[in-house]
Amino acid sequence: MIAENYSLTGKQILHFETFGFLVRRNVFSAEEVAKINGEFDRRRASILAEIDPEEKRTFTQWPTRNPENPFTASLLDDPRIYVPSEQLVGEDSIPIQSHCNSYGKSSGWHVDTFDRRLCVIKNILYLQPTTADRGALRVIPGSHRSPLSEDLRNMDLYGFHDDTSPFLNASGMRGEDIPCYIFESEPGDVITFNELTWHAAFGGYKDRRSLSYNFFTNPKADDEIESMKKIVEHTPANTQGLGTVGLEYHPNWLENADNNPRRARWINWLEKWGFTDVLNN
Amino acid sequence: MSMLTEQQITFFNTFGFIILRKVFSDEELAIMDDEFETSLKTIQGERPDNEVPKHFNWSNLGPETPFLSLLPEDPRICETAEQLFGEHVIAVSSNSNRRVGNTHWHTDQSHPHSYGLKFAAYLQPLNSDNGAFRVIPGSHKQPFNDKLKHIEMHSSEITVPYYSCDSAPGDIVIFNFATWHSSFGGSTNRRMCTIDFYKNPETPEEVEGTYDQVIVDEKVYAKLRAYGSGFHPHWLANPQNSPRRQRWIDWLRKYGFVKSEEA
Repeated sequence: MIAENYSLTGKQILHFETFGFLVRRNVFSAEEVAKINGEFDRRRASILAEIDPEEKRTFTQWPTRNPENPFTASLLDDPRIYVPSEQLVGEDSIPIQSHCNSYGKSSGWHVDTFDRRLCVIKNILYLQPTTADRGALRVIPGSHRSPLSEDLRNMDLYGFHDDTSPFLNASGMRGEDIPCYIFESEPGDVITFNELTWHAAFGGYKDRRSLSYNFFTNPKADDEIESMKKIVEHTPANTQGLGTVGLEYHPNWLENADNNPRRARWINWLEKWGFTDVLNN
Repeated sequence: MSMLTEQQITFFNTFGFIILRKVFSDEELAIMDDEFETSLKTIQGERPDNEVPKHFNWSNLGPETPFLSLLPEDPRICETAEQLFGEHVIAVSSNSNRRVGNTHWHTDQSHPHSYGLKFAAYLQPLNSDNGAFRVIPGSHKQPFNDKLKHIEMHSSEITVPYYSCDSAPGDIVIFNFATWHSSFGGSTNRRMCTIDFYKNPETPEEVEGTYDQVIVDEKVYAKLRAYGSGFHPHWLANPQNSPRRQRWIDWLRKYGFVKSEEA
């Protein structure tokens, strides 16, 4: 039973707004991480057996909202995830996607969105220790805001793989040479970042693991609504591109057997905007 | 030949700093170490009980440090400064610095319209744990620069995200005065040589900022300067008749950085 209030302090919120990310240490216990990793082992093994027996994929992703990984699925209803998220993007924010991720290599410098009209955050739990040369997430502080955001884009840094970054190719630099904060972490730590924040991870290896829970601002202004419509429209193609395995919203999760009011609100919203249609078909 | 590539200039403009590796040879480093050590001993000898303050500096523009006094005019330095801040930049100081312990987060910009850059050559190998220059990349630009003033950098709730400019003797870190920086874990004898350049003011606000900088420099050096003036008469005499140095001297006199009694 989680009894504590997991609210962020004013200083933590200011840190997030200023730098575009926030680190919380020891949010989950070693026992909880072991439980998550156990579920991750089993689910990954069954997915690989089904769709990738030769393990040729460099990225395998599946939604958390699935009864086959019940503890991992429950984290979305855990105040350690939703309380800080609601503080950062609004009490009526919505977790549209939540995933288990198994990477096969490094990730070059990129942002998750260039659209400034909606605030989207991602909570990430790395399930193995991370260091600078072994998969630690790197973020460029303050890069979610102008002018740094545009400066990085204009210098042609973007490249999910190092060899696709025009700046790195022209300069002879490596992705590791870009100045940043390196989130060296232990399993149980959580980093939350604005999806506009530039980030990367180097020293990748087979089955580098993370859980990700993203929360979107509930759109109200015309430009926010317009932006959300575009997201609904492009989400199927993006999901297909990533090769996400399985339904984003399992019927078991949609059933909401415990009548959790927060989950009920999320489900109503996801149905109203069409996400249950586009991500479950 | 340009000192910096197009990508290096872009890097500096984007992040507010750049590290240049192996600028000085081993032979040059030996001379720099020797001139630094000789000056330090002279200063210590002139102070009561050989007492040395935690943070202090002295000018390298005197004849007793001939190699260091010419560094501002070294093409590796001044032409790089000209690439970054325009051909009319002015060298306003060349100092040796001896520091002890931590230097907390700050910028070197004293006025919102006063622009400058610093070349820092560290004489010892430094990493994040023993006093390397730490920087918040991109913090030289607004509004990020101002927002950082509202962060309680010393709070235990805040971990200031930074990049550590690990360096070896011979490397130079160049940074925009406005870039937030610090140093933690330094030894009791951290040594560096610095050369400052100011951008030539082009607007009324920048002119005002330059005059403001004169006052700030006087206050800072009154606190940190171990002895003497920043501008030795030997350097001001410009015995080699360097046109570049003469332009700098004329500018320094015009704005009041060099007082008439120093001339």
